[in-house]
Amino acid sequence: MKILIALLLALPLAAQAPPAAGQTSTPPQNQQDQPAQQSPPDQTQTQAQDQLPAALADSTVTGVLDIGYRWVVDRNGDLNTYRSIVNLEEGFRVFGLNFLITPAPNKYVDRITVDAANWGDPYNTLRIFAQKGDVYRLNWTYLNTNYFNFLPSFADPTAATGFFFNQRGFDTRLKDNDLMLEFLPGKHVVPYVAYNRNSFAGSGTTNLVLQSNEYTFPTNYDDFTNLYRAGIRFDYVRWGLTLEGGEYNFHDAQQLPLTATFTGTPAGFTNFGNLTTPFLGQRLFLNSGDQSYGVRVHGFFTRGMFSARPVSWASLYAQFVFNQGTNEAHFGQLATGNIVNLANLVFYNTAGEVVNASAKQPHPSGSFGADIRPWKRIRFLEAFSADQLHDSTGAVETDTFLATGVPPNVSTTFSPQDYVVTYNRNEANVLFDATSWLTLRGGWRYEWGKIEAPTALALASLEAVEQSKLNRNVVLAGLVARANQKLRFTADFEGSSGNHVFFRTSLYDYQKGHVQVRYEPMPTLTLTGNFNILNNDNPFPTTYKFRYWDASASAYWTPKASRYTIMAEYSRPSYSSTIQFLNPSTLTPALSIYNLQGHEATALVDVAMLPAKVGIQPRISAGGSLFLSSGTRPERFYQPLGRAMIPFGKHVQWYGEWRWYGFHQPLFDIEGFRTNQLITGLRFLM
Amino acid sequence: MACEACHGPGAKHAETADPAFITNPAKLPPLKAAEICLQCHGNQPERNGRVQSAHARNEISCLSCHAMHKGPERLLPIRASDINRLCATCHTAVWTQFMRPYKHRLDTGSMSCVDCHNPHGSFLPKMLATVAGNQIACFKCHGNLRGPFTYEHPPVKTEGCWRCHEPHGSQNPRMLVRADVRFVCLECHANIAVGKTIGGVPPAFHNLASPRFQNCTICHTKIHGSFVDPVLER
Repeated sequence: MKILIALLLALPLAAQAPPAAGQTSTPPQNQQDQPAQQSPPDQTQTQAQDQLPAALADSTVTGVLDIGYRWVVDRNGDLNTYRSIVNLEEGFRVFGLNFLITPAPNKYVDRITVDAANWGDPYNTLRIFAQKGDVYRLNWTYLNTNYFNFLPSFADPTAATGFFFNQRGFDTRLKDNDLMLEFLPGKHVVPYVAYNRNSFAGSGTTNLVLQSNEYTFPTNYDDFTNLYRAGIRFDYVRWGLTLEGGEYNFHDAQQLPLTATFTGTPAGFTNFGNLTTPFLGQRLFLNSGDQSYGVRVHGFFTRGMFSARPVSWASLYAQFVFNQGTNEAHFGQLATGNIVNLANLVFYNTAGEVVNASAKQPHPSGSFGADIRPWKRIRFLEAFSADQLHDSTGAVETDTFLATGVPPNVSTTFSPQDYVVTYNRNEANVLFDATSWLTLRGGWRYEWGKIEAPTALALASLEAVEQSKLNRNVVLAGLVARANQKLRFTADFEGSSGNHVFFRTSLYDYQKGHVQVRYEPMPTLTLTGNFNILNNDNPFPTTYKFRYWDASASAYWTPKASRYTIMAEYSRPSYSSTIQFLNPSTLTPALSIYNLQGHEATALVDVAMLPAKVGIQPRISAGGSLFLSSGTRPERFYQPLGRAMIPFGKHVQWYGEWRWYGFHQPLFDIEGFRTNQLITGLRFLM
Repeated sequence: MACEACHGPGAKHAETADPAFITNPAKLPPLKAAEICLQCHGNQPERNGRVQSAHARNEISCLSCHAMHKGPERLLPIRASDINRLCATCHTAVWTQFMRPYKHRLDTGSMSCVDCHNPHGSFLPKMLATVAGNQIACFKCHGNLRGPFTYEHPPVKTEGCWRCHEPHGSQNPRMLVRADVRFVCLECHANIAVGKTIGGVPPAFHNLASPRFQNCTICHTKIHGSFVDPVLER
């Protein structure tokens, strides 16, 4: 990847040609406002792009290269929590690279856009777009994310003892490459090919679970998915058709190494697991544990999409997809120590498990839609979709228990299963233009389906299959009011009185509403207010109440000629959930109550220090974001920032930035952290 | 493509320079403006789920997101941060969720809203983009959770990942919808909904007073689905 970065940095140089006499490439005027990390969303940057020339006669490169160094200063608190949430470290970084390259006329490419962010940090991306007129269009996106999650209190049954060890930790890397190449874009017939590769690899902690005890071990994650697809698109004014076929394969080779012990522990380490008391008079433990997965998934899919405008007042859409995946899984486990077999209540020193399994999962789905405008004021929207998933599986498991002086215990079980889900939905809306500024909408959605799922544990005395059905009628309503071009009011409502749903917490007897007001008194000022609400109740068989609402407002003031730009967003969410359950061990009723009342805000104020008529414009910015919550898990997460920028000529700017990250949870004091980060860097404008 | 494709006949406007003689889509009602765009773009595959989208129901015009004459980056934003800025101007409450501690990394510009959503509409709920034809967009990056598994965890394929996770951002570890893992699980595996909804069979027998059993996923490690174990422990 370092080579790739170097090549990318050099790319604009290679494409650049000496400017023609009298012509200079114009640097974007406001690009200096681009934050090193985008938070909150950067409006001034887009203003700068407004001023980019759409087409230039000769080879040009416009854009920004943003490099710098970050210091992490005075970091306090829990490092693992910091890494799980922020995970930014010291060092040289390419914070941003964004180029629009317009080469001199040639037969290979008209335009290249390169966008990269956060190289050197744990979350980095690269997007490349290239096009040659109506010959081809290329899109490539690369995403690389370091997923570190080792919160002390999470998945930690020993936390109450003061010994913190997360038994479900991850230090992994998720990479995603997505490439699409279209031929003859803009023509009536457009073939295309695409490739996606996704991988997940790294280390972590997980448990080897045996009867009556579970033992934490390090593990290695190693899996990837390749997805290929190709298709052809017919794109005409009256109709369009897309035919696509694809194939995907997945490989998983997760392993717990043989005689796995943690780094630094001596050979012969005894792992006593989470059960700290004797079981039937003996202490259970492991001396070694080994698990290995060999999983192969192969799938294919075909898709056909058709749309038509047979008449000017009607549009029709249809889609059919057939996707079928199959798996072949082999799993082996070997553990040594003192292990109990609950079937005969005998203790063994070796337990082995071998599983061979397979599954076949056909998954067809289809949809149809129509947008009909038979009269000037009335519009019908009709949408129907159907989906079926059938997972047909079988597994053979052989368990072996060995001990000195005891006859071996070997058992083999075969367990075939079927999991079937059907889901159908029909939605019809009528939109009526009551006046030139008011549109009213009414509609109805009907959802139905059924599910047959194997029970979580098919005990002999209980049902092996659970069944449920979905039968939900939903009333829809809304309105859109527009006062001239500046004010827009939208209201949206849906509700159902409930009948049958798949899960206890599915939307049952519910009302959901959304109101939005958007006001643009001038092109550079946008004010938005939103209110959302959701109430959901499912009284069967006993209490379930869910209440949610949020109110939010935003203001964006980005005048081009002003010395000030202001962006601010604020949201006030509130959740409340109450659900009754039976305490599993005592079967006594208990309530699970979850509450959150939060304040979420982001803001950025940017000020030019000198009037516009002065050539050099140093700028300062201040803002950041905060999240405050009370309720079940109160938290405070602050991310203030301050920034100064001084330009040195037209093409170079110096900037310095300060950020502070502070995270505090009153109920989990150990998981707090706070740190300062300082960045200094140079921004090159071309 | 000529100007008249979007702005209508322009001869009289050219003669008189009178704005009254030219169509300006930006000043039309949203639906009328969208109809102009859809004359050419209506049959493209990205719009196949258009009529099922909240944007269509609420008459959000194409021009709300695409600026026609302000350069390629405003016409079709490619940078993640530009896309996010566009969406955030209306979806304020969603954007601020990315300021929570546990979230997808949109705030750093590493991801964009359209990595997961198709703003033109989808036959999936929440205008989710699709991968492999008809699977939810989550599986594009989380390919190891796609399956097919020998033992599926039904809500993953039925209700979607958001049954247990808040994908935009959460105050809870792992972006869970509840503060403790056990309460996420017990909402279905509660022993008291047998026969009506699924998840209640068999009755869980664990002693929730013990810290061992308050963290369900330390044993049920393959909670998203297992290739080899019906109780999702390996």
